[in-house]
Amino acid sequence: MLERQWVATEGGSEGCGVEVQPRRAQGADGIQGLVARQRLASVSVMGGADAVFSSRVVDIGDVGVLLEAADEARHEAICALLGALPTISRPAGVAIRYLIHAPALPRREPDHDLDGYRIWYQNDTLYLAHQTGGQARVDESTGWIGGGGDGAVAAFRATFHLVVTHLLATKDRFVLHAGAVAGADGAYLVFGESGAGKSTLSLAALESGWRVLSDDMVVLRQTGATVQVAGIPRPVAVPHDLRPTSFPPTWPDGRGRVELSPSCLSRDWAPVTGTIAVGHGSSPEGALRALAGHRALQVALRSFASTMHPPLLRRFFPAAAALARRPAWELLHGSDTSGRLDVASRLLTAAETPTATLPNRAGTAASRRRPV
Amino acid sequence: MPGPQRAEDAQYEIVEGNAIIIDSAGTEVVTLNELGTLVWQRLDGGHDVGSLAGELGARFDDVPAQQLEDDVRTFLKDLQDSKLIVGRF
Repeated sequence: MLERQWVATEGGSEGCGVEVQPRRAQGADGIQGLVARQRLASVSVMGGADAVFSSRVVDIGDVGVLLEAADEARHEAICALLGALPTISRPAGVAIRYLIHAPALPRREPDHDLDGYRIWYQNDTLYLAHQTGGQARVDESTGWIGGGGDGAVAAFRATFHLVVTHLLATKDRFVLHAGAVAGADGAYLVFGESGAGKSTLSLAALESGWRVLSDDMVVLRQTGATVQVAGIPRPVAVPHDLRPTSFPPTWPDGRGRVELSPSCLSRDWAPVTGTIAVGHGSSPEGALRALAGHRALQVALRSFASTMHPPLLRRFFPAAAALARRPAWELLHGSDTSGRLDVASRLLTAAETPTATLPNRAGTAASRRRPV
Repeated sequence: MPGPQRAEDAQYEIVEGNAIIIDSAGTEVVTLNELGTLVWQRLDGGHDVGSLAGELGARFDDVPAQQLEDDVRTFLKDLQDSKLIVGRF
């Protein structure tokens, strides 16, 4: 029997950063055979015996994450999203296994049903189904993703964020739906829903000489009052009509956007010095307003996909509060597309050298906000 | 008899003078204004409504004491309904 295995090499550059080395499996009496049988037995519990087509360990937030794919299509799906992450030789602390067969889901109504996702929590295990057909089950150390049929890329894109957020939160690494841009003194986290302009601000930052850690997904670690951020490098998708000059786009992504190579992203950790919530303004000159601390905290909580799971919300809460104690801004992009990058660059510089005062937050009644 | 105190599972952080609290179920975030935060920080079981209102009275000497007590009692009832505090008041 021949088992195809992608053997990891440090800093590899072929395809997804790995080399192909088909190797002959050991006999059934050998140690390799025993390991293989155990793995297949455990996978079969998930709904089918999925072989391992590719396997490598990458670093996400200082945690070794084993990425395993059951076939070539799933391998390519992982590469499409995470191909910029170099392979490391450190042992994995958590694993994400992309199977052909979808993990089973609880036979009851979901706890949450929003934005195309159905989500269940059973004790500390997350179950997830997305409208692409992608499904996942995630415990404290392993995420199993499957389903999606021929749409392996879309299913992985849709499920990976929630899976890795749940996995890393158990290691006190907090994955946020946010960008991060870094100047001389540290990084600003950039919050906003999809389409709010995180990528636009990231592109403006790049063209103004800032470092960009990510436009869409970051990971935090906290030590006391210090919070640091690193990006999870994925292709940067920006509206095609922004016409970036310094970083020419490479290919269209099918959403009226063009993608920039993740090579334009910085891969180091940076201390977080502030937060920016982006949106679209109604005037050509855009706007920059100070954001009250408790508003900044709510924005930070909403960017954390595991807010729906109370134990992980409680785990993230001190880090979110530490973020909210830093300068926070609401940045509204200019309404004129042709000048939007220049406006964003100017507002970003203004945020770094603030002259505005915080708004008066005096009130009389307690207010409630659901975190999600 | 001990006064009202914060529930053990009511996790909170102070951000720029505002207490922000996760409720006991972990499904709701409650934000208090600066006065509410002042009261919240004293909910250690050692203060009754009268002493809490007295502390506010030092800041609002033009507000009748009875009105301050009523306001504090209403505020505590709101916290109690949200299971953020325990104890009688």
